Parts: sequence; structure tokens; C-alpha cells
Amino acid sequence: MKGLSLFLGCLVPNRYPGIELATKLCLAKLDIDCTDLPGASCCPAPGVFRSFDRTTWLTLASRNIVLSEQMERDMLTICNGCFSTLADVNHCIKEDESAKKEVNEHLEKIGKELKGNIDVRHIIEFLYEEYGPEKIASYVERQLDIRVAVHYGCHLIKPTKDRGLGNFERPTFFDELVTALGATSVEYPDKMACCGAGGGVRSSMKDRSLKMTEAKLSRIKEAEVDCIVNSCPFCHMQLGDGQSEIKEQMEIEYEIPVLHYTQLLGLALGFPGEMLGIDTEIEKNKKFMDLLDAGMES
Amino acid sequence: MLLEYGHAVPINENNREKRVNLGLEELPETVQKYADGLEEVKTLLKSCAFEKLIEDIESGAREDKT
Repeated sequence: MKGLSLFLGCLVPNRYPGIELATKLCLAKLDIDCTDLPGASCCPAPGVFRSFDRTTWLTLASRNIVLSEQMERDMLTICNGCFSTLADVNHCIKEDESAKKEVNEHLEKIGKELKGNIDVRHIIEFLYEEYGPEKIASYVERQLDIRVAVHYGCHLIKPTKDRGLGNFERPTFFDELVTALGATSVEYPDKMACCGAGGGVRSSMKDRSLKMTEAKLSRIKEAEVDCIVNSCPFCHMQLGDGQSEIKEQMEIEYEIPVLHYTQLLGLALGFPGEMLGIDTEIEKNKKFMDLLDAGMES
Repeated sequence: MLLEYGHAVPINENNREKRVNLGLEELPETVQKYADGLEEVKTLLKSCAFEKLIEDIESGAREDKT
């Protein structure tokens, strides 16, 4: 297995740097060989750019892939959207010689060439496939006695023929990684529904996207969970910041903490919440951390 | 944003500060830190005629409004 390069994308380093730090801390603690990927750009985002101009989408994504090829490392993503773009482009250029030729004509202008000799991984499928829940559990220093609503997000599991991660209607791999930390993954209706943000919906139809989010949050609230866990900063933003926007627009209040899986994993590996970007100045996050601390004391 | 910064969501002052407070570098290891990388992205966007595509769409939108 090759070493990995960490593809940051846009939202993680520029809006949720705590997820970046949580990821780096977890990878180091798990002894995973992963380095920075200097000079990468936007993936670019699948919902907007793929549908807007396929050539630009293919070419910019290919430049990012080339950066990792030059390091002779597979790419590791921590965002479902980045995974969608980079894994799909990587798949496309390996399968379609004419697409690869077209991309390389553009890349030639910056002195680069795409070879198609690495893989693109998402941290959830990587941990599940290469480590597995049992090995992850062996690293846990702090059992998390909490109830968790797992949000897979769309691009992690679709297109299913390319992802190869099993049943897309009732997948379990992400839930298994959560239960490995001592937590309970709680089933809830419409679990596989979109967060509401993807496909350019948040950008173009904000009100409609928030209605989708509110519908999902209402189901999660009924399940009486302690937090939501996701694997994508765009879903993270929609389910987290979306709660404030819903309160403002619809006067419906949700107080559910939202964590990226690397933040939850970081807590289980013994890192303090503030190192993982969990802002305890926010009341719901403080209550969540108090709950974890109480669980440790009992 | 992509044309100027190489990111659909570029960094802002608040998050520069947040990164430093977390112990991360103020700028992440992306095109925002590497000017030559950003130039490569801009070259590719020009090569793909992305800028012209945007201009054409914007001028079309303006004509629709008139």
C-alpha cells in the first residue's frame, strides 16, 4: 500500500480548520503514513463545476491528482464532495484514453502530465477497508458512551458501482466505525437522505435546501441523539450552521452538536475537544463535552 | 472565487486567526500559500476557456435583463 497525501479541499482548511487538525492528530496516532499535499486547489466541487463545464472540472482535478502522483502517494480526502470529484476523475482518466489525452493537452501548458497510477481514498472507507472497526477500537483510550446519528452523505456511497462499499440503502461501514469508539449508532428515518446542501442546491435555492435540512434534523431530534457525525465539511456546514439559519428563518430550534468523524475519533483517542476544534463557547457543544466528561467519571 | 483564489471558498481573516489559535499555520498547504501553484490553476482555467465561459454567461444574463 502506498503512503497517502492529505487533500484538504476548501471548506476544511478555510472554514473548519479544527477538522484539519483533528485529522492530522488522528492519522499520527494511528501511525498512518500521510503527508501534506502542497499547492493543491479546489477539487473542484462536483455539484457546480462538473455540471457547469466538464473539461475544466476534469483538468483542475487532474492537476491535483498529478501533485499526488509526483509524490508517489495515494490521495486521502476528508470531504465527500472532494472524494466525488477526485475519485470519479481518477476513475474516468484510467478508463477513458481520450479524456486522459484531452486533460494532458491542458496540463502540458504547466509542464505536468497525468499518469493515472494512484488511487483516491476517503478517510471513512480507508479506515474501514485498511484498518477495520476492531483495529480502530484497539486504539481507543476514551470509550464514548453517547448516542450518535450517523450521516453518510450522498457522495460517499454513490455512484455505488464505483464506490464498491456495499448496500447503498442500508450501509453499515460508517456506523461500525462509530460503534468501534464505544458509541451507539442510532437508527432514524430517512437516514440516507441528503443534508440539503449538495448539487448546488444550497448555492442556488437556499430556502429549499434548509427545508430539506430541517426535515432531516427533525427525524434526528426524534431519535434523541447526543450528536450528529458526518464525513463531509459541506454536510457539516449544512447540518451545523444550518441549525442557526433554520432558527432565524423558521423559528424552529435545534441544539444538536455536529462533529466530523475525525473529531469524534480524536475524542476517543484521548485528545481534548479544544484541540479538535470543538468550540465549547457554543452552549450545545459545552453540554456535549460535559456529557462525555460525566461518562468518564462514572 | 475559483478564478482569483483557486478555491471556491477561500480563507478569510476570521479563519486565519482560528488556524493560528489551533496551532496550525495561518495559511494551509494549498494554492493560497503557493503563488506558483495558483498561477498553474489560472493557466489551466485560461486553457479550458473557463473565464470566457463565465464572461459569456454573465453577458448573456445582462442581455436577458435588458
